[in-house]
Amino acid sequence: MNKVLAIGNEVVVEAAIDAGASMFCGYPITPSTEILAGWAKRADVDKDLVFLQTEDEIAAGFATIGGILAGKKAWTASAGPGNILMQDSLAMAEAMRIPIVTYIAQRGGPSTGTVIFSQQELFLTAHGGNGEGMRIVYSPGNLQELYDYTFKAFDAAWRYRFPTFILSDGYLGKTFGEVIYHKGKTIDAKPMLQDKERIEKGEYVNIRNCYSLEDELAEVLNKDIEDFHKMSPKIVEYEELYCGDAELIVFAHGSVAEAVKAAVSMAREQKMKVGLFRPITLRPLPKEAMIKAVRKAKKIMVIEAAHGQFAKLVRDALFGATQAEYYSYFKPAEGIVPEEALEKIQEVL
Amino acid sequence: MEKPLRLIVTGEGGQGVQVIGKTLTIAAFLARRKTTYIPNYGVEQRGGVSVGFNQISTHQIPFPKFAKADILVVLCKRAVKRTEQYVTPETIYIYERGQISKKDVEHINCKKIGMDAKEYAEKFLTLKVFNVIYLGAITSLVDGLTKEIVRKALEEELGAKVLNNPAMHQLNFKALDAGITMLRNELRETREEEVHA
Repeated sequence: MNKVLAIGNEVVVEAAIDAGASMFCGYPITPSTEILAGWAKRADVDKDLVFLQTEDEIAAGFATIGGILAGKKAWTASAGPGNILMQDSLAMAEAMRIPIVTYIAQRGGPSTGTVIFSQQELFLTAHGGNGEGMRIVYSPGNLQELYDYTFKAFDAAWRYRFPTFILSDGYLGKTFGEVIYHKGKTIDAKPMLQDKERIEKGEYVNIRNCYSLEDELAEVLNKDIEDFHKMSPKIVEYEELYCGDAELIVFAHGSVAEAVKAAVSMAREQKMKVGLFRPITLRPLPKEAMIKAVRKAKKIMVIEAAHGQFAKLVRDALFGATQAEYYSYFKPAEGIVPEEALEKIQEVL
Repeated sequence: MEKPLRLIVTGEGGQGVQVIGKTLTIAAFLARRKTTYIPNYGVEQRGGVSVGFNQISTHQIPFPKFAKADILVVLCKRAVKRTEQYVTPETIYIYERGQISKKDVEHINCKKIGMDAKEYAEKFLTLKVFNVIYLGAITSLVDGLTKEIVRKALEEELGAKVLNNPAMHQLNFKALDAGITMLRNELRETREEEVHA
């Protein structure tokens, strides 16, 4: 264990290296650029690390996939408009069950917007392709989690072979603070196409991305959906705070959930019966735990730095399971501080 | 819940605002405090007002940004308006008299301390270490931070730029000492003014 002071984006690079990542392809974009720059620096010293800066995010995504097919534990990072361009390759990864890890630093949108902060890339990240969103999405809330879940993302991706995302934001990536690095066990990456063992057995490896018949594609797709549902209970993660006796349960995710956590603690000091439910995996969503958490609640509220993207997921998960009154506080592309969240809690309770 | 000390340093891009924020964070870490720092890093980083948010606490810090500052350090005129929203009557407001007049901050309702760091740096040191004078001023206001710890943090933050240049090394340390003394003197004068009033 190693306690250090680091900037969020440096933490992500460290976690990737600790998780056994060996290749990074990317195109710089604020607020994720220090990841590319940080990896380039490390690759300059460690010749086992491959670095490629491509001409854009489309190329970055496909080059990363190329590396993975060749047996590298390759990953990428992007933000905002870059996240849009990368969806082409990410949808292909989804189709071909390629275990790509992508770090997304959410910034204000639509389009170029701001380079600062938002929670507006949830839909794009979780469901951005022309498919069913067979993706794993982690939403870390602080620097320590940035390390922990980036590390975990590589394990999840290579274990289950679904594209895996760390859905972060500009605040987290740019925060300078304390973090503990603690290496764990990692899974080795193997070539997906030129796999010697399979070739020696006479097996021909072909990963398809194009189908002639509807039912051919449906067969593959339904198997992927089934695998995703089978995997979900093993992978869902969440955090609950004071939900047991809460009259009001606030739903929030990522760094906004950290602000809400502080607000809920302050509200509890004022004897207010409020709790926080925070999904850490946004895809798959911890639906059963969410339903259980709201069983006794009279009111629920969603707080997010987007205009209802997370709220749609929450309401869909809770549909028919609660009669609680519904409230929301949306602040698209703007930060939410604890005092502000506390005010909203006081208004609702 | 323990409330962290919340501090904002703001000035023109290039005045060394980020160095103050990062050095304070390193110093707080060395002093075994919990600490976070987040700059605002919009496109105005290419010229414009720069704002850095620091927090220092004995307990875990919940969120890197905050709504109100305990200490606000303002180094240029246009940062006055930009940071008004962070002021409360309890805020300690430190401003650079070489850039901001008493009239500019007349409407700010809290304890205000004007400093002449620019003039001092130009006369006795070099303008390059102007920001470090403010780092010194902040050091004398933060419990648990000593001059020695902040010196160490400054060396860590500035790295080779300072360590390989003995003259700059000394100028930075002198600026730090000057800031500590300057703030103490200003505080004494403010107190005397209050007593006479």
